Amino acid sequence: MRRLTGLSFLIAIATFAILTPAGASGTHDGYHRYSQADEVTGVSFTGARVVRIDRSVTQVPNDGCGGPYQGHPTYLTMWVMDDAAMNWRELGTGHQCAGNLKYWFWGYGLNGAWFSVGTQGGVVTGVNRSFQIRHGFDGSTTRTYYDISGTTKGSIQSSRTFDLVRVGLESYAQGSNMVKTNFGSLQYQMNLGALQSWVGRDGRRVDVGFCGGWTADTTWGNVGKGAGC
Amino acid sequence: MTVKRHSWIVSVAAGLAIGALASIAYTAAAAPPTVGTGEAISVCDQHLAAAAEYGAIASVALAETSPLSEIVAWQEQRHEPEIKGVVSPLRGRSNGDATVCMYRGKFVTPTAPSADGSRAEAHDVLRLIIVGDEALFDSAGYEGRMGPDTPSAAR
Repeated sequence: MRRLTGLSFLIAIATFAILTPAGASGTHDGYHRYSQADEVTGVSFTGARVVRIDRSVTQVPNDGCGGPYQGHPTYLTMWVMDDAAMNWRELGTGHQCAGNLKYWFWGYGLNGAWFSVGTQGGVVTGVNRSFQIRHGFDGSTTRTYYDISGTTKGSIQSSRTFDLVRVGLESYAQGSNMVKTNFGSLQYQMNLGALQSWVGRDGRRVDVGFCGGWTADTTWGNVGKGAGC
Repeated sequence: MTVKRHSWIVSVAAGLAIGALASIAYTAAAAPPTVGTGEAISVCDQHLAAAAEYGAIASVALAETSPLSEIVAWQEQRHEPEIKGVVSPLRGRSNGDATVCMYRGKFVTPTAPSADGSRAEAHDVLRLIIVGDEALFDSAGYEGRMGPDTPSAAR
């Protein structure tokens, strides 16, 4: 009798384990790290500009091949944002799909959420480009423009100003590597004014497995990841 | 011999029943409810694999089927007056219905860590628009802060 009770117990546990959902499933394994530098000189930032190479990211898992923001992406990017990271404008380059999917993306953050305004695939790596988020007046309203090497990729109507500007790497791919490169010629725009160089060496964050450091007031230098450091 | 076999069968059946009931009770207690109609929820369930490409999926949070024209208007106007001039990627598509699906989980979408680095959590909800067989990215963020969540919520 005791043996049969024990059998019921074991079968109950096995049935529970088989039928109960295991929880989340998918590509995100909990890894999420940054290497970034900040400029906090002003309180009315409306834009920023950086010159950098669209460096290849290697050892990227072979997933996320269906489109932007999938799999285990690594983003080389820039933010114009508020201190709390609740609202921001962003322009960057995403790497996924074993390095076979490389795209530019731009959009805005609102209440912590990401709203993509546009993407463009087929990015050629190894090329030095300028990336710029700026405010401009189009004759009737203030717009936020997203420019790459002088070409406007998209825009939205928005007049919000921000507390800080930031450049860097964001990655969800733990084993990925990126050879060191510079985020240089760092500039900001304030109140729709002319571009000005970053001043001083304000905020920085370099998570484990990343590299990066100030090599000039206007260069977040030697930015890389993994074996690339 | 017959009595012994009968006891085995009763023990196995009891184990299966207890395990199944425990699983149902646990799942019902653990999973937050899904908001939406049965048909819309079914559409979102069918695209769980597509949603899982954006991270780790736990459950469907919300499902709503609407005319495409209403979804386009919602995407373009939902953040006014703060944000204007957004052009929906669905603009120009032929008329019909589409389904807004919100999934709970952990996602790999772009975030902005706070100035002191204290906040850099992965997004915990993902919103896709299901048009025919296509699952199109709409947005990702934090549950309860994505509003208006659907075209009907914006009316």
